[in-house]
Amino acid sequence: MRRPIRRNQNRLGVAKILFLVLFLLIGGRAIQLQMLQGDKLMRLGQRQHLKEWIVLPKRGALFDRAGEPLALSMEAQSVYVRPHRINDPGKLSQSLARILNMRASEVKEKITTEKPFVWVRRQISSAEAEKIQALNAEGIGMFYEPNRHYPQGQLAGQLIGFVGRDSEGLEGLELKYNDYIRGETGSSVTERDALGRRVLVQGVEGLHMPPGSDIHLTLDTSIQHMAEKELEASILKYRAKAGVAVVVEPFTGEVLALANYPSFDPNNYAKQTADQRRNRAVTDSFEPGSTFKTVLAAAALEEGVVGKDDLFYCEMGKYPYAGKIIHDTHPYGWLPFSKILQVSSNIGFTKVAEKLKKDRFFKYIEKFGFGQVTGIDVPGEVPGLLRKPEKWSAVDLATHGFGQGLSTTPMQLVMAYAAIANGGFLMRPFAVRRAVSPTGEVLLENQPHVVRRVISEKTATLLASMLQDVTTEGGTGVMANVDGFDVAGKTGTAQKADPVHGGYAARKRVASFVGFVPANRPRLVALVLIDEPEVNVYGGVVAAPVFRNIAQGALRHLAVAPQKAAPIPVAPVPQESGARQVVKRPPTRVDNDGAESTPDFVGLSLREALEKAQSLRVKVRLQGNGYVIKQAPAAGNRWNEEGILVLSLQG
Amino acid sequence: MRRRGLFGVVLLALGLIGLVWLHVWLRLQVVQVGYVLSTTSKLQNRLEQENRELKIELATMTSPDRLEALARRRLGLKQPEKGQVVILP
Repeated sequence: MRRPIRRNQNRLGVAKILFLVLFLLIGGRAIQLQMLQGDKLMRLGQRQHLKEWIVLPKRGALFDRAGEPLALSMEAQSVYVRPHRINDPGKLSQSLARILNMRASEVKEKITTEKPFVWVRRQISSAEAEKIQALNAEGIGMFYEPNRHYPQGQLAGQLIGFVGRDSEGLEGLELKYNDYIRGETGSSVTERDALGRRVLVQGVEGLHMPPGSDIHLTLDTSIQHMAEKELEASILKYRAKAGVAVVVEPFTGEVLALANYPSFDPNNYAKQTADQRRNRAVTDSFEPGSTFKTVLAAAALEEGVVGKDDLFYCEMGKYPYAGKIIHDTHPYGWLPFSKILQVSSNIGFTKVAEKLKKDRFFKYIEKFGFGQVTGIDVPGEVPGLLRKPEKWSAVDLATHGFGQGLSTTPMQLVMAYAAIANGGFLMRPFAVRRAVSPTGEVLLENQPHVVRRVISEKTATLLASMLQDVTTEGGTGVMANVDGFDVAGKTGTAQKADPVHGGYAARKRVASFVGFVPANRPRLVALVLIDEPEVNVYGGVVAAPVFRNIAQGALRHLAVAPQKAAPIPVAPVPQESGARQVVKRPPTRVDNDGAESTPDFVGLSLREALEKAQSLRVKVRLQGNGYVIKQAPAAGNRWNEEGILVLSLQG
Repeated sequence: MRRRGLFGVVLLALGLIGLVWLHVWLRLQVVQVGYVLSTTSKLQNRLEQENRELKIELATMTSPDRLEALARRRLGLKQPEKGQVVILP
């Protein structure tokens, strides 16, 4: 019995030592792993199951004044390949080409390079992304990238601007307000499992970055649409090169519409030229021509140099001044000052400028904001060209008086007229009302800002009534008349400087009309400028009707009640079916679609009108001389009973 | 005496083991909820994206250019003529 116990004790002793050694070994290994290599091993482990997720910035949206979206963001996926991981490039390129609507050879070329990473196509649709996901091929992947959409297409494209691939504003309001719109970018570390799935053990806070602020514009989509459409129609009709239309609220300086032609669609900005992208209303300056006479008139009235009824002799159309001869389109004798403005006599204005002298004239040119930027919140604004009076030559006093020898942007001109409309205050125009953060906090609010008082209210009212005469019978701007409203405004037909030969180009003109309506309580100021029209060049013919159409639509949209009662329409007597054959058909039905509507004669010269009448076999009756400014019945309407078109000419 | 001491040790050990099990169970729960959260977050992103897509579609559909073309072509509407609009003061 003794021996076995002793033997057992020996065995126990061996076992004890064995376990002790094992324990020490394990302990030692634990110390080695935990303490000596701990940091390195932890890093290795984390690399396997932690992943950094980049959260892309979400740009805020752009809305018009009524909340209509103009720019929205979403995320679109972009496809990339890692060429060295692809097993069968031929097959993959074929299936990719099928899904993405590309040529297989093109795709194959892309994915068989030495580069480690290649984009196949950026920003694809979600349907395409799903199909690619379904391929489940090795070496191909997709990545979310922000994508900007402009749902209204070309509407106000130049004003809104556009955003590059990296979600940075590159032009227009997208650039100007980029800091507000951009939104924050962030990253967050999340765990993932063996299959690469995200396991949000730490919650989702880190993955939710606040998007950028929304920008609310002063723009009115309806008025903007009308302005663009009318501008384009006139430019096509008169075969012009380009054009601008601006509509501004005179008392606040809010921009209601800013249309440019040629149009620009920011949805595919890369495919369009710099010429289309340009926001001409602020980046281009033009010689204003006769529309600038209003500035001289304002200065002369404010300084008390002339009164509304003071008489000037207009030299029957030719007036030698400072070694040059000043011409008028029509010869006039004695005219009161108000009439000089109405018929836009260069000689009359030369004489007014002589009385005012250059220093006082210059003071008002500057006060009206010419030669300086208006301060509108749109990038790329230029100040125009204005020389100091010390540098004026002798003839400059006269030519500045009718808008030559200096240049202004359309925006400057429209703000100067706004000052006359609102009783004498030069306002700072603005296109953005406010920036609102995603939590509803207003981060920025643009308020109407008075730059300075330019003229007294009395002068402004007097000048407004004189400008009203321009659009009444005998004035140059009758075609700007809006039914039911009094319109105050001024036409302009400026020669264009010839950059190659110096002086003025023989045939190039800029036709414009700028004015406000209703004349006594203005709701809007608008400018229409048409660059290099070919068919007709006169502002009163080319630009004034655009003003009329825009103003008419805008006033209706703003529900402004007409001042003058419109005639109450007589309900047409319904015709019995049997009476149809008695209706006399007019001699023309040239429209291919067989519509019995009258053709358009407005804007044609007397000779062109007669030629057109002859070729269409239309009977016309002519009244007056010059260019057709009115026709009855109006174009596109039904013929009257006799089938005769009455054309009123002027010019 | 010895028996009571042993009983206490066993109880303590069982308690410790219970705590360890609780910890493991909690950890599993966290991972489980992490998966659910991940799926829900993905769904949220997808729905937000869909919402954005629909907003863009709506805005494109109601753009004045398209509406005017449709009104003119499909419905045969046109601009009102003189006297057809009566604005009540």
